[in-house]
Amino acid sequence: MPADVVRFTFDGRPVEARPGECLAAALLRAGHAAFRTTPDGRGKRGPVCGMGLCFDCRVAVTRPGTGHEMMLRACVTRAEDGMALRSVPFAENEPDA
Amino acid sequence: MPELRYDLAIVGGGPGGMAAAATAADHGLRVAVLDEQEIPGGQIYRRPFAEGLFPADRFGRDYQEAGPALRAIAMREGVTWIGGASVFGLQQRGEAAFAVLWNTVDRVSKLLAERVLVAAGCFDMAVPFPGWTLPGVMGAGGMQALLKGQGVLPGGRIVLAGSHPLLLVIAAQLVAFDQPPLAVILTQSPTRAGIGMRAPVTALRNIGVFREGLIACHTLRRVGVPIHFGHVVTEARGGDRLESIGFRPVAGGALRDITCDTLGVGYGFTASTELIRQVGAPCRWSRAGGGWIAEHDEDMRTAVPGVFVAGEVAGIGGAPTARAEGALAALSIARDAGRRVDAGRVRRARGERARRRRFAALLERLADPGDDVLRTLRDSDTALCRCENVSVGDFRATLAANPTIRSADAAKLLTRTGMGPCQGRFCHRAVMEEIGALRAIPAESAGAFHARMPVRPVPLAAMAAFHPADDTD
Repeated sequence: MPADVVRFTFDGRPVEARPGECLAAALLRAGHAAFRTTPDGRGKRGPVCGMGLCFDCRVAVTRPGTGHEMMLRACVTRAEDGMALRSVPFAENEPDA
Repeated sequence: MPELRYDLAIVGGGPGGMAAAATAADHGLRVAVLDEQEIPGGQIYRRPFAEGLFPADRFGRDYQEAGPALRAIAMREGVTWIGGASVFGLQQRGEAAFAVLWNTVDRVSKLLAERVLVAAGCFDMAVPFPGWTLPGVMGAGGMQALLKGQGVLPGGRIVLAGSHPLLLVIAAQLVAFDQPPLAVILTQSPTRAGIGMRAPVTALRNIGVFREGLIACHTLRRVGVPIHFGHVVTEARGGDRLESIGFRPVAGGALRDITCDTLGVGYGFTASTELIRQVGAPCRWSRAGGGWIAEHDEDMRTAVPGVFVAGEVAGIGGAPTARAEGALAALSIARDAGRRVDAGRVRRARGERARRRRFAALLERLADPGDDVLRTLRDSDTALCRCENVSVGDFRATLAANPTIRSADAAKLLTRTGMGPCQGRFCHRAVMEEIGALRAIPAESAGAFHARMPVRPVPLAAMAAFHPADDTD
């Protein structure tokens, strides 16, 4: 039976998602507008296109059990139980997908 | 793992791609449809991640019916649906065969197809203005993607601004979600927007978004949402996120403020032609109709034999246009593949396409904010390229110091505009406009950024999981 709630963390803070929900929607519902800092450190960024094209909503994601971090687009990535998300500080901005 | 050889590969599972899949299957073709979403729909019919997120009729009857209809096409005999696939390249293999390359987070895959239809849709046209990079400033289409796909509003205090009638439709949808926007700000005068007309001409009633826009106006008036015609948002302000916007009359005048946390911007759409350009098919510049759009013959063939287009890729036209062109393209494909195709069906498809394009042209004129409005919005501190944070001022200074630069590609090498992960999708228009203005040449002379494979970033891990041994052709 699928769980009613999917739990992950964003910069260490707990966030709850509905099963099947994307990371961006869960973060926005939790009140997070800024997902990362630009490479030059000058500004914050959040979701813009909502369809996987602008890469502005990317976050560093560690899936449970993988031990490595991937830069993923929050708007096209489903929340999974136990994911650890990091808002990307500047100079760490290369996207994976 | 799906089988890897098809008569036809369709990139895009929206109304155009799915109409093509149905028609191609009617003619016995073996079809693969690839889309980044898990289920068919495209952006216009994007489905919620779970049933029951919102009432089924929340986005109208057309949306409601499209869900099961498109899903049924995906499950038809002869149609293979490949969801969750980001297509990043088309490779020509000999005379009439293509390799279509795509990836998921974990791996890169490939299929072979005799013919390819690109029905990849469009995205919000990017318009740089002061503060447009602040978290909370979104594309209006992006906002709708969150609504339809997730049942989520990006914020509590929302303003919608731009020139496209879709903004009115979205505003009414926000009302239905019990969160009316604070205001809708449209550059057009009511008459220019066609909305002030008491009895819009028949043609307008045939344009879905327009009809819906008129209904939306009544809804907005009823609940007291102000619609500021003839106004433009000139700045977004805030620290780590959007806190307020400033807007003024288009013709000039006093700036007014609205405190808000979300701004949905909708000045029109940009066609996703990067695969078309990457495979070498010519595009032409359509300032108000999608940017670089694919050239094609009357039956949707591009100049590259075996490559076809439908819908927004051929110029912004909306779902009915996409459906008509998808069906027409598939008839051409079936004919080219040697299948028997009913001549009357082709004639009707051509007629339907022409009719839909006429309505689309009308909407394009009504929704066009005009370059003169948009180009004056940005100042020298405005980010021209969001990815690389290149300011308008820095870009202009570099061009001034390098008088031989007259193309977007050349400017990219010196300024880094277009070099980030969005691959120029969000800066190319403004880059072209800037080059055009600085060199006193038409913006389109600056050309498109060269589209190379991969046309979108692919994870190294996925690339590494692709074994050359798989690549046997």
